[in-house]
Amino acid sequence: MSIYLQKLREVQQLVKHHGGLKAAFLTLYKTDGLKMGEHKGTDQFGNRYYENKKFFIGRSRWVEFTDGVGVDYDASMIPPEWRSWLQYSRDETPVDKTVAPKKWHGPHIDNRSGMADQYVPYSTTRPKIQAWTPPRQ
Amino acid sequence: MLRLWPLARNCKATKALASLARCSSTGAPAKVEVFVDDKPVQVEPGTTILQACAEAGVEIPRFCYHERLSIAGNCRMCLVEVEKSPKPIASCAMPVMKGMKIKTDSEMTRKAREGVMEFLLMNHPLDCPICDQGGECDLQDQSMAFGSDRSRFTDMEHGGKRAVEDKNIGPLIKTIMTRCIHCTRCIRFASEVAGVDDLGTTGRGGDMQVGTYVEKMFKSELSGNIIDLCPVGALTAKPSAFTARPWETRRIDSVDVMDALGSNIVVNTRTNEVLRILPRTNDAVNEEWISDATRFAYDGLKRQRLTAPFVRNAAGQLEQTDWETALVKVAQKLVQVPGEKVAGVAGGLVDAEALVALKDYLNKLGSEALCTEEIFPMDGAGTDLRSNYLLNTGIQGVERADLILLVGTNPRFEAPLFNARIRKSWINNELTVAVVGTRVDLTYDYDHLGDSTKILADIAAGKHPFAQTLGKAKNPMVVVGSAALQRKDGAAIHRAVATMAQNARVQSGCGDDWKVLNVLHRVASQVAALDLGYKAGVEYIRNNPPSVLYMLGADEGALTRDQLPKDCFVIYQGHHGDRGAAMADVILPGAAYTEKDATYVNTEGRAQYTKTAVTPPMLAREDWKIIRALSEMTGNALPYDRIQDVRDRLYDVSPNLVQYGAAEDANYFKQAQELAAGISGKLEEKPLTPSLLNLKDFYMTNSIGRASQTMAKCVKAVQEMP
Amino acid sequence: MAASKAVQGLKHAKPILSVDRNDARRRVLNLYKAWYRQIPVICNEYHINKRPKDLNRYLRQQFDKNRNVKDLRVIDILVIKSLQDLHETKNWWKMANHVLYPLQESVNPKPTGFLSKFLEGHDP
Repeated sequence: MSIYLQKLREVQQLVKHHGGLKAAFLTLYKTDGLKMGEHKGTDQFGNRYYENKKFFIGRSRWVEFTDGVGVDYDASMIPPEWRSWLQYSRDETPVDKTVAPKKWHGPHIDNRSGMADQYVPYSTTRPKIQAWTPPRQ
Repeated sequence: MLRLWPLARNCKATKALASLARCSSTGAPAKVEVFVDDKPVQVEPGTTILQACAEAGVEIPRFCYHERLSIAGNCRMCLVEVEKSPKPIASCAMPVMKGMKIKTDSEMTRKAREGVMEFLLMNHPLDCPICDQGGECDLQDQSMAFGSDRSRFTDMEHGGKRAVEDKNIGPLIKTIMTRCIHCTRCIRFASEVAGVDDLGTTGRGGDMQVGTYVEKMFKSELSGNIIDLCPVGALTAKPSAFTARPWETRRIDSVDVMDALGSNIVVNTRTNEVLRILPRTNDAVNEEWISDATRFAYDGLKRQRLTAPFVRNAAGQLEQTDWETALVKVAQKLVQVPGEKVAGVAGGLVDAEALVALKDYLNKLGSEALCTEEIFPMDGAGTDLRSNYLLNTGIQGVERADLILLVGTNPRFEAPLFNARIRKSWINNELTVAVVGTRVDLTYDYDHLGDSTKILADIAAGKHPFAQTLGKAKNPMVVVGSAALQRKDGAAIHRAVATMAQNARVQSGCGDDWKVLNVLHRVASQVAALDLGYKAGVEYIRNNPPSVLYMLGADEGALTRDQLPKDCFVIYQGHHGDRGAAMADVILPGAAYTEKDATYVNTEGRAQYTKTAVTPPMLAREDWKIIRALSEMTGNALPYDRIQDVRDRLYDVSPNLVQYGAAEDANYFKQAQELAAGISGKLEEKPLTPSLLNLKDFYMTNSIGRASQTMAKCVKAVQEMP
Repeated sequence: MAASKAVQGLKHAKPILSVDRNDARRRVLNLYKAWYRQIPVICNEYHINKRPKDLNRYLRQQFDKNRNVKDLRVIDILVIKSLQDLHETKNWWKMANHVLYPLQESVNPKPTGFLSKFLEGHDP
């Protein structure tokens, strides 16, 4: 009986953590799961990063994508410095220890495939036939 | 006449032998019986052992021997054993003797070949994997067939292999002189066929080098042929270096259009791209040589191409469109104007199929104004009698002639292989050549009679001393260049030349089958156009200003915008963006000669056809199809749908146009002479000057040559290199 | 005698499935119904961007094409083949393009006249 009560308490805590029943259901809908953890930081796009060491490695760090995107999120929205923390390449979050940007770093752009401004590869081979262009008058 | 010393010596030797043999028997020369591998063969006296073996069906390996060059006998690959001879004999240089027993596959022969091959390979780099000749290399093939299976070459530490510095002999020929095996074919070709004594050897033994002594360009219009002659990879083509292996290419037989001779060529293609052009043997036209323009101008087929139709928009700019728009635009215009206000001009690279399609179409519209860019006098018999505008004697006829008079022409650059034929005849047959016109270097000696037109009149009237020489000749030829007939007094020149030719014909008593009058054309389309009834020259169009002008590949600027009415609608159909396209209102992209099945008639009246080697680029179409499509748009469709139907139509108009390979001759000199009597024009004072005087003029004579970067490099090199 | 035997031979062709016209008719109608019911499912499962109504029209066309077939054996073969097709479609042994291919919507007819050939391409 106490197990059930404990579970119920956990659910209660979870719901509270996510800010009410409605918000918890929304998160459940978006991420297919409800997890509770320590909020480690937020990146420039508004993605929130959490850690809970109670889970084993591989599941102990996660991201909740920014609210605007709904279910239309993908992994390329995560900037590289947070990605390396998320994938256990680094122990410290960018909040704990800032990553000095290299001079060749550009602004982070997520994957644009399928959008109007997607990257389209072009042919670099020279055409076999060079066409005539009429002289401008 | 000691015109070429090594050849003269050989000729004399063989002639003496032949005459000796002739003396021993009566009448026909007795044949000599020799035994090749115990097989009896009857051969002419004076033939070499190598030729006798060839007659018996045995091919002797060789490097230096070549049928069309003199015999050098220095590669030693053709060694064979002859019974009762203590040493093997170089078969290419040894005449046969009665009862000779030749062993081409004996132990001694095989050992001799193996030894020669070992010596050759000792000083030949083993770089076949990076050699352009790989796959068509005589040394490669023969070392597989006759060489030893192992090498005794061990001198890696000391001298190593022979290494020779590469020579720069111009933008066409790449030399890797370490590969040279000293067969001297290139040297013999240069001095005998090309007539340019630029190549030779220095040093001896292991230090022997083939080269130009001092660094200079091999300045010849036939220079590319030494690439084919070179049995190894010492001389390869610079423009097509490292592009493809010979076994990867598709070879399509075709015909050249760079000059009016119609040299037979093989177009090598891969992945729908022309990679190189090689000669095809045709003894009646080009033997096995081609000129440099023929061989190397193919890169012009890939530049400056018209790949889509263009229509001039309201702002006066040419704008790219699709076929439907362009054809509708042309058709609307053609429907609006009366038929007789439509005119057509044909350029120099147009095929007979397109010519007949355009003529039929404009005639259907009601126009008779069909002209060629190239001028030919229309007075008197004009172009009505074929014999007036053909090279009647034929290219092969040069070898039977004993006197040639060249009038206002420089055959060396207008028709390089015709000139090579004259030179061949000049060396072998004691041919006498005389020239009226500017003094030019023809690679052989000639009597320069002067450059005044007065001399022509004098010879025609019999007042000039040369008239007697002409009369005494057994097989005289008078060749008038097309450039001379472009002048205002072209008709008078033609009449003078025709008169002297007819006089010579009567006086020499050469009979009806020998023709004296010859016209040497400069462009490939001219004879076909005249056969089809085009008017030569654009004078007619200038006198009757058209409302619509259809330019079929007319790029030489015979008609300019200033000479046409202001509102004249100009349609250009062709394959290159050149002068014609720049002045057009609508451009219809056609196909070049490698991209269509087309008929060309050469200057001697020989019909030949090209085959499609590559597809026309992008939206370009075969020329006769464009005219056919346009005719359907205007509602009076031409009655042919397939190329076969067009050729049937050609047959109806003039059967010789589709009798491929044969030169249809013409023989109405007397009638032409009578008709010419009415010509009133007078000869002008201006000296007779051919259009192409120097080698630099030779490379860019048509729109393909002008678009070619290789040709541009040649012009630059000729001007700058020593 | 021989002629009558031959006629008899023809008469007694061995039936494949249907023994008479009514039987064949029943089979064809059953097949039609089966396809008709399957079409909305096909559209849904194969993500075919078409209304079932349009496909029904196509189905009707396909059956109408064989309206003139009277031979029972031929009808049976056609029914069997179509059933196999249905079976394959149902079981996902096909892909969307296999289902759509018979509609021949992306196939342009080849040009026939000279001008249309000319406008179409190099050597159609």
